[in-house]
Amino acid sequence: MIMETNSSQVLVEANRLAKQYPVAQGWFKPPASLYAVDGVSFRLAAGRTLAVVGESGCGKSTLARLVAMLEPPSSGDLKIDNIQIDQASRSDLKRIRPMVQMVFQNPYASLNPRKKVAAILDEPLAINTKLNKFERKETGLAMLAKVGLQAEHYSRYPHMFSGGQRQRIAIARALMLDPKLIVADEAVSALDVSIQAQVLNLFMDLQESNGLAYLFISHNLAVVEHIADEVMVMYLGKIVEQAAKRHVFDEPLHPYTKALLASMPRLTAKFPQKRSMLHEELPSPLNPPPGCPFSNRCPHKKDACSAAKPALQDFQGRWVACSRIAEIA
Amino acid sequence: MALLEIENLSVMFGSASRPLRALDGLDLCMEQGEVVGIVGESGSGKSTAGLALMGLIDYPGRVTARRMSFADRDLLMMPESERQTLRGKDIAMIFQDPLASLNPCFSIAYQLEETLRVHQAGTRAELRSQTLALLRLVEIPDAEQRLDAYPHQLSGGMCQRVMLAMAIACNPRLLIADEPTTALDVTVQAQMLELLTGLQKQRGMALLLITHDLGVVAQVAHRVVVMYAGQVMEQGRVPDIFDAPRHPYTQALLASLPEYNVGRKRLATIPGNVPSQHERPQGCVLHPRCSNAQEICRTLVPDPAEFPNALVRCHFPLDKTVGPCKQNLTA
Ligand SMILES: Nc1ncnc2c1ncn2[C@@H]1O[C@H](COP(=O)(O)OP(=O)(O)OP(=O)(O)O)[C@@H](O)[C@H]1O
Ligand SMILES: Nc1ncnc2c1ncn2[C@@H]1O[C@H](COP(=O)(O)OP(=O)(O)OP(=O)(O)O)[C@@H](O)[C@H]1O
Ligand SMILES: [Mg+2]
Ligand SMILES: [Mg+2]
Repeated sequence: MIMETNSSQVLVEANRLAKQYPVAQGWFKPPASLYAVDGVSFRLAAGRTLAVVGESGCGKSTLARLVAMLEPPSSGDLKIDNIQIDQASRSDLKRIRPMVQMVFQNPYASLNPRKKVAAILDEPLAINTKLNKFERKETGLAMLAKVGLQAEHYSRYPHMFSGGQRQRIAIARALMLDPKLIVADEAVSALDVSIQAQVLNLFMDLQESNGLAYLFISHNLAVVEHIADEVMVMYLGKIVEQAAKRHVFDEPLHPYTKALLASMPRLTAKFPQKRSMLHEELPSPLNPPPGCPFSNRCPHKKDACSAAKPALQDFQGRWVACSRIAEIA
Repeated sequence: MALLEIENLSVMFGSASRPLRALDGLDLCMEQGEVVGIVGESGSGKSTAGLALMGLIDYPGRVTARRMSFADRDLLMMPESERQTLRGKDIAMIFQDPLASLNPCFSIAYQLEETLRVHQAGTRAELRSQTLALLRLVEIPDAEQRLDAYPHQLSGGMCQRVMLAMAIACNPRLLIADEPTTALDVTVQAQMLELLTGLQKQRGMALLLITHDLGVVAQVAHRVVVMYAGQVMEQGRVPDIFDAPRHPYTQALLASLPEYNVGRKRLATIPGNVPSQHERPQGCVLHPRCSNAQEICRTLVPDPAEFPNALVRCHFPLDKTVGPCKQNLTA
């Protein structure tokens, strides 16, 4: 529904994906339902980058886990490479699973400290392919070179590397099975700026050479502005705006997107700028406001906003979930 | 007279045979009401500088300085008891790890009252009303209801506000804030920065803001200190440094930011890695990664050289007309 991409190119298609978690309320109350992801639909074409932004707890990591098939959705469906995952045959799943790989925020925690780089890179191949030992080693060494590490690093342990090098190892591991999609959950957030630049360059180079698509999650809006083709803005589990990057950054439409961009620290403008600051706190996801989830913090709120949940609708070629968008845009 | 004057402050860790210079010759001068940012990559010695100013470097850390004075009082000669009174009252600090500094077992009101009690007398009721006023000052919504809340019942942003309330409880003249917004969402960060700078202006407090986020410094600081491997590479006024850095490291750091690479796909990078603590290079600490390095850079540590409104530690400082994007440091 989102972009006019040729359907043969569509790699991921999510339709009303939802994930709900039971949350204990104390001993005598039944558990409540928390909608971590609530009716998210999007399409991602091969070789493109879709960035997901939004405040902590808005469901970015949950969405990432759903797309990476680490968790099943509570409802809605997910198609990868035109295969509907919840109805896929075992052989299809066996083909599809390696196509999607994840890279996490913390390269210190995501690599097993007791395994050498050799074993870390060998494992996915040993499990998923019929390559023999020598072929696997060759593939591993080639991959190290690809992510900018040397052959001598092959027999070292993760603790012997810097943060940026560790993230390269994590990326190399993710690439071993020649995926089509990398789900990067805050993959550069823990890195220093100079290392962040190296890893972002690596991501972009790999996109060019391997035609990778990225679902790129980051709270760093400057990074998103640099790397994304399209941006999805989430709020309390829902998409509030989705559009081409230039649209979102040059002319945000949803009041939440505007507030988010105004909060972004800029190197040029002096503080305080003219900003549409959010003064209220983010509501609890267990108890979102009625109607529009953003209504309690929205400067344009009218009574009608609390009456019904606004649907994500086409407005001037972009997707926006705001019932007053025609008046306030 | 400056509020804070520091000359050649160094902090060593490690054994005598294998010393580790976490902070190497910091010069810093701060005026009343001034906001100074310290930026640098992880491990460059930012927190160490803050802790040394607070007098909180414990054995086996060793602190040396040529001069260290606060409001014309000599911090080096001061007995520990006096230093203790100064700390928390005139110089306060927000520590990098908020959860480690708030005690999970006590309510926030109790912890704030304890902070106040250390430096002043007062009845319980007085302390309580002061505590409430402080929570309102840092804009905690429904402050009355939150008095008896425990840290885990508050969001990260609210914990950070409570820490700010604790730090400013005794009206310090200098507040050192170590990564006060790093764990926060951008929206909450913006609120927190607005609050912090608002209070700083209102109280004429000097603020030393430690962060790795250059954007935060660009927005709130008057001056910035750029650190690398324990040393100050460059310090100067914020607009000058961001428009025309004189140190190759500052320039390379800025050039690696997406903001400085608009319209260009690949980001500029700094070749190589930050040297580990034990293998700091001879000569200029940056030279293995600096494309401008000459023979002298490999052997001789440059001294900070004075420029109008700036100090630069480099044998070959850049021309002021070279902006951060005009020259690309990567080969
Ligand atoms: N396994 C779980 N059980 C219960 N609740 C969960 C679980 N996982 C996530 N949640 C809740 O779902 C919501 C979305 O969480 P998620 O981790 O997806 O957010 P996020 O956008 O990635 O946040 P952050 O930016 O902090 O990483 C949160 O309110 C979270 O507490
Ligand atoms: N108590 C200590 N004992 C030994 N080494 C220490 C100690 N404290 C800090 N260091 C070392 O001193 C150096 C500077 O550390 P510091 O914490 O000041 O860095 P930082 O700039 O604050 O980094 P970050 O951005 O990660 O907070 C690091 O190499 C660190 O490992
Ligand atoms: Mg997350
Ligand atoms: Mg630190």
